[in-house]
Amino acid sequence: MRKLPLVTRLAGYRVAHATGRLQQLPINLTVSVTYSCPSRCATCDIWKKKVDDLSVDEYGRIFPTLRKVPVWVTVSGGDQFIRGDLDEVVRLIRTQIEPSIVNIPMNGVIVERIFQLLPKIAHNTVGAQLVLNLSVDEIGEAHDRIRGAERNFEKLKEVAGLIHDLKKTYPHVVLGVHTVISKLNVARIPDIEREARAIFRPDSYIAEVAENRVELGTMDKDITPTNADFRRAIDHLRNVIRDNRSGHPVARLVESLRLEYYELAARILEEKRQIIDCYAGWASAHLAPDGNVWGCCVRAESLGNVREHGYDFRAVWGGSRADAFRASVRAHECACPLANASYTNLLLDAPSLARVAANMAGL
Amino acid sequence: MKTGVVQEHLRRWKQEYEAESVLHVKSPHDALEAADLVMVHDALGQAGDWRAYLGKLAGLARKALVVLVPNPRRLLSIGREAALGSTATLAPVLWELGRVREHAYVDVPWGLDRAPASVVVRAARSHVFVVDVRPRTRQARRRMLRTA
Repeated sequence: MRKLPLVTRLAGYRVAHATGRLQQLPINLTVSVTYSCPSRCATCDIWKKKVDDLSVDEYGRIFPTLRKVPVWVTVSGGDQFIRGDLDEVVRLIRTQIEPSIVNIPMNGVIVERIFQLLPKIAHNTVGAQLVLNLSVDEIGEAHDRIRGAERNFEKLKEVAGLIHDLKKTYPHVVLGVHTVISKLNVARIPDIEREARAIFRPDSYIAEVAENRVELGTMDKDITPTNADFRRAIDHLRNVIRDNRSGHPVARLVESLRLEYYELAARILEEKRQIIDCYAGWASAHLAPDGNVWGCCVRAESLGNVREHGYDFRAVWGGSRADAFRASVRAHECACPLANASYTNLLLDAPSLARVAANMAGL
Repeated sequence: MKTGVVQEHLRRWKQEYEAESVLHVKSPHDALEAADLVMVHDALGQAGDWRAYLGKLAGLARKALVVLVPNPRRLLSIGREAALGSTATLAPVLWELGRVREHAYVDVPWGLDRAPASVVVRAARSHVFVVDVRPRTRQARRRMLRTA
């Protein structure tokens, strides 16, 4: 099946959002392959959840029903590398969904498994861009304490070395570093950002605020930094981007989107409302390890389970629970700075896109 | 490939891998023996099953396997040699054998060796992969010694 041009697809989401009709499949899909995780992060209790994970065969029945619409697929967890068949899941994503970007956030804990699977995953994603985002929340042992994993920081360095080697034969591999800004590290973000760049030499650096998410089991945790502290942290990150603009058009576009995202995240936290319309449930979706489909992982409300619908994602996506979720989001009954959904939302907001374009042009 | 071009690289690899012995393989008919560093010079195209042949050579290498192949991205490069030498074909096989630490374009015509990377890729006669075949962990090293 031929893909619609992205711009046509985006216009379709706007129509669907405005009218409640002409629903399309999402362009931004997160596939959570397990909740199991060896880390005991202060900002996440996802490891406590126990479910029956979807098998490779089940994924092989679900992915074709997405009709190759998603262009950006995030493979998340838990720790995805707990699964010895992760390379097979990624191969199915690449061959059956054919996204342009496959993004894998990584905690770098199960090093042996990572060394075993990552070269296969790189091979299985040739033709797309494979973004490997290392989770770095502090430097050295302070990181290990926040992540609740011994020697984690040293292991991350080993994994970064592997990724740098992979890039020599698989140029589609991109190394990113991702920091969750919480009360535990917000005061040190400038140092963490600087040192992480020096140690890991990533192609990109991104930070996201620690928030209360149903998915992560963090609804009762006091982890979100104060608005003032978060504003200081992202002001630093925005200044770093402004002072080091790339000459490469794609990198420049990403930087411009990031500048816009940081400002959006700060305003959402400060004003506690949707600053721009949210398209979670239209343009972005989340497939949980047990087959539940969510509009987003912050609310983690099941729109239905693919196991109960013949593994047909469309059947769930077009169901009444999905419509109810969308109505709630459209009514602005929620607001959050979730990075994954926010990027799609920025693409769908004309004033934001205009600012991104102006920023790219250096205006 | 000219011997002189590889000598400089070889000196560095011997130092990096603390290699005391080097086996140069230029044809599938060459006599084979174990060595710290095994270097394959454009011999894959002559081997019937090149994947199995590479596996056999990797088994002989105690520290590193160096694979030198014609550069298929060189302008006017054609034929089976070119297809076999492509990174896309070789990379998954080499990563099965060990950790590919280096990939470089070599044997660049005089005057172009300092050109931008995009030009070097089109001009180099060969490219080379260095595969680190040493066991990664102490546990794996112990297992290998027991097997040996």
